[in-house]
Amino acid sequence: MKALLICPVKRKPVAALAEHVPLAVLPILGKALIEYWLEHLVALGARDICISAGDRYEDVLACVSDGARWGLRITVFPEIRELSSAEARAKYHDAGDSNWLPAPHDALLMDHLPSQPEFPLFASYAAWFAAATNWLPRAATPDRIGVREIKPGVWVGQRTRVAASAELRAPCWLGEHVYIGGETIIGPNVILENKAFVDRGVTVADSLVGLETFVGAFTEIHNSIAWGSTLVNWKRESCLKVPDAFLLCPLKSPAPLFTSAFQPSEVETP
Amino acid sequence: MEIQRQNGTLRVRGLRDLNAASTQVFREEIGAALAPDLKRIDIDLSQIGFVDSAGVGALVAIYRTANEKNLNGGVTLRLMNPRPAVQQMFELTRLHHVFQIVPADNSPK
Repeated sequence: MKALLICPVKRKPVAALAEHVPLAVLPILGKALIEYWLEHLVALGARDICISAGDRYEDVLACVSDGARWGLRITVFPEIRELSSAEARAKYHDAGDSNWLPAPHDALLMDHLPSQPEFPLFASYAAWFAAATNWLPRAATPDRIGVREIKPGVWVGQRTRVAASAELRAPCWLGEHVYIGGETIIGPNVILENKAFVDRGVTVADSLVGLETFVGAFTEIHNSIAWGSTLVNWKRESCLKVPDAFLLCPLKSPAPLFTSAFQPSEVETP
Repeated sequence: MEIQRQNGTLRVRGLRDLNAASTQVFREEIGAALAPDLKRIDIDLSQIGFVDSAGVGALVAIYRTANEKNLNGGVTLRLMNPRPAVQQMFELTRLHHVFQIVPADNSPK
């Protein structure tokens, strides 16, 4: 059976989230949004997936590749804008081809998590946070390797290190390769994405700390989404670029200055 | 920057920057106006769009100096009308537990 996934393009209410990656690839509890949708379509019986990518097509392609990981055959098509479901059907469905999943599963816009349409992801930062925290108990599926519930409502991923003096308050999710320093308080309602580094003495509550984000010692994060050096207060909808790396910063190296097509050695000196 | 002292309250207005480039002047001018009978410092932040750790440090220094000079007990430092992003910086550094933050709607937080 065939199905079509429509990637959401940048949305003004959550502009900071799409700063570095397209929304379809943004991690939620350790997996990209599109991965949850692919798993959902596999469960519905789909084997052939077309993906319409209106924002940074190459990032979407890099995430899903050819789909072999899910036992799927995936083709990613670049678009210049986000198509509606009707437009996508008109463009991608071949006339007379009855091998598509029944509507509405045949053309799905990924603006919410599967089976969770009542939690739109991109209406606001508060909506994003509500959807992610609501998904939290469902994210640790039995087929998910490595994530374990160390006490009720506290999920911890592989190779995550938590200092003995740290306090974890349910519900909270600590992804893979997360570091939690001493005297920290994590939770309630906290999601720490993979490779987050939370230094000593930090308090995090009702917040999400993004992939490969460093949170400096003795800081306090409440009602916020901290991603790289961007701090969004989802309750007030205000956004701060933190200027001091010792408070909040990305851990990931910046993009290389030179692509393979243009190496430093090729620079001619006068 | 305009500094006005009245009935034990020091009011600072017209502040446009609070970052590494401007903190020395800020600290010197306010430091000179601190008196032993001071009870409160109100700093209007409504015109400031950006505060870094140097600016945060300057506020802490002013607060400490004011309390060291004070003869009658603690001096309160109030940050008036900060923009939301500036308020976030104080919350990240936990200074909202030390200073009183008075948002534009005048309800202390």
